[in-house]
Amino acid sequence: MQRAVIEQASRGDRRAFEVLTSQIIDRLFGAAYLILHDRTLAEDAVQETLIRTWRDLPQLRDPDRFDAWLHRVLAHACLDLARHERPERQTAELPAFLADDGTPEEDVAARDAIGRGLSRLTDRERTILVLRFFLQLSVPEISEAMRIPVGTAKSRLHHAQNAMRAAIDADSRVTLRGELA
Amino acid sequence: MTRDESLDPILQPWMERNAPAAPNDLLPRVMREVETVSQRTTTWPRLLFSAHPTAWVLATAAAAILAVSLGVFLVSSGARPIGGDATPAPSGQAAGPTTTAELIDANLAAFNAHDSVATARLFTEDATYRAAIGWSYWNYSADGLDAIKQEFATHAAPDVATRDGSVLENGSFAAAPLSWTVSWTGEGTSSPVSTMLGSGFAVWHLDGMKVQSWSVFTVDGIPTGEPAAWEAANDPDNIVSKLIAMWNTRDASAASALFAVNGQARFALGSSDWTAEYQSPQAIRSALTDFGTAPGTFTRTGAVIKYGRLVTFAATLSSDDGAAKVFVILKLSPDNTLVLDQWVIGG
Repeated sequence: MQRAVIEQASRGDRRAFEVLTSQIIDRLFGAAYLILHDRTLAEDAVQETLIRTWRDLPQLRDPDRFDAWLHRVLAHACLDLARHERPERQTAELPAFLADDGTPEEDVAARDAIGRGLSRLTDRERTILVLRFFLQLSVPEISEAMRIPVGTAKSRLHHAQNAMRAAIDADSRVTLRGELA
Repeated sequence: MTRDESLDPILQPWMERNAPAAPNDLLPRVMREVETVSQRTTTWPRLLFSAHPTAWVLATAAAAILAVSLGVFLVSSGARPIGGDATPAPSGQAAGPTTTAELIDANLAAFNAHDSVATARLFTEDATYRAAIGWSYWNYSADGLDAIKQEFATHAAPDVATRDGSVLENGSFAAAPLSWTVSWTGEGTSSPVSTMLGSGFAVWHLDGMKVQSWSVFTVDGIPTGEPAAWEAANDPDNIVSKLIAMWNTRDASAASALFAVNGQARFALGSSDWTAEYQSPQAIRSALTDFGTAPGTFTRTGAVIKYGRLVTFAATLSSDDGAAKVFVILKLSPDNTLVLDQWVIGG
């Protein structure tokens, strides 16, 4: 079904593109928010991604590659925005994630530890983790989305996972010291 | 959590739980923007399907002028021109190419003949072919030998790419100006078959006498805008020297003088995941500031070579991660003030 819609949209059918967009926009926004930690930037990234998709879709010769292509455009849009709209990203302590609806989570401590851990990663590390764990891409698919060799994707994913574990470990030590003080 | 614990069972559900849905007004905003984009601009691909005959006449004339002007100015030092004429080598490749120029011409001959068998002999197993069109992101790529073979085989007459100038080498990279005619099949559209004339540069990453990657960058359709205040631009060496100095010192005020009021820049780091584009001098100045000390220093290692209004030179880009040999491609505005078009970096 999606293939037919993609083909229609690639021929300039705006209605088909709207149908296609309505199917993917939540997933794109979720991924962009997880990468950027900022609703406004995430909205910009998704808008940029979809406009580019509309503009360049006629050149996508194989509709079966649509998802991989879309993820690549999204990853680039997020990293570009992070680089230019938030240049202080490497040093700033980003806020921990909060549940979107503002309601308390059952396991606040665990949630916050993961959220803070993600916040301590670089945008590039978060991007590869989001591609892997949220969009559930395989390593070859991550390689294509980030335009890096498969071996590099594998090693960067490994590195990002280690960084995430280290960030959570560091967070738990800080929390423990705070409790002991 | 210990470092030995797997993140798999934790991160995936956490992300699912914490990823918000898109705000309700985002889709309508996107569609309004789509509408605006559709009305305001005739974008590159849509131009292909709706081109007016006059545009083809102009495009043909432009391509002819560019082809004639290519190779007019050649300074010999550093970057080594190979096969100084603009005539592709004979395509007889039974014995295989023995020089970079022969390899590149064999590549083009295989493309023009839609010959997947010849293609297989020229590329490495994990090679990449990609085309960057206008100011888009990488619009198309074929990764791996099978995809490249299929890409070459599925082209149809009158698709043809022609080398219009000397082949330059920089380490394991080579560059050459190209012009091409490519057609698209648009079933179900008002223009079932459309043809595009293009010109630009191609950069090859070579692995001995095999092609590791082949990238084609179009340079057409870039608005040139008003001339910048900086006027000492008739000498390409001078332009390049100013450009390199501006970059290496992160001199935002110099950038103001180098670029036309709607100057644009694009950076593509070879086969890596980094591309960026800046569509105004303000954005370029901001980017220079943002880069701080990264991504390092440019050193020109080859001659500045001018093909019509295109300028290219070989350089080394040094950073904390090491040094990469690159080709930089610039486009001059009609009055020869500098509009930075593309920094095509193979590394």
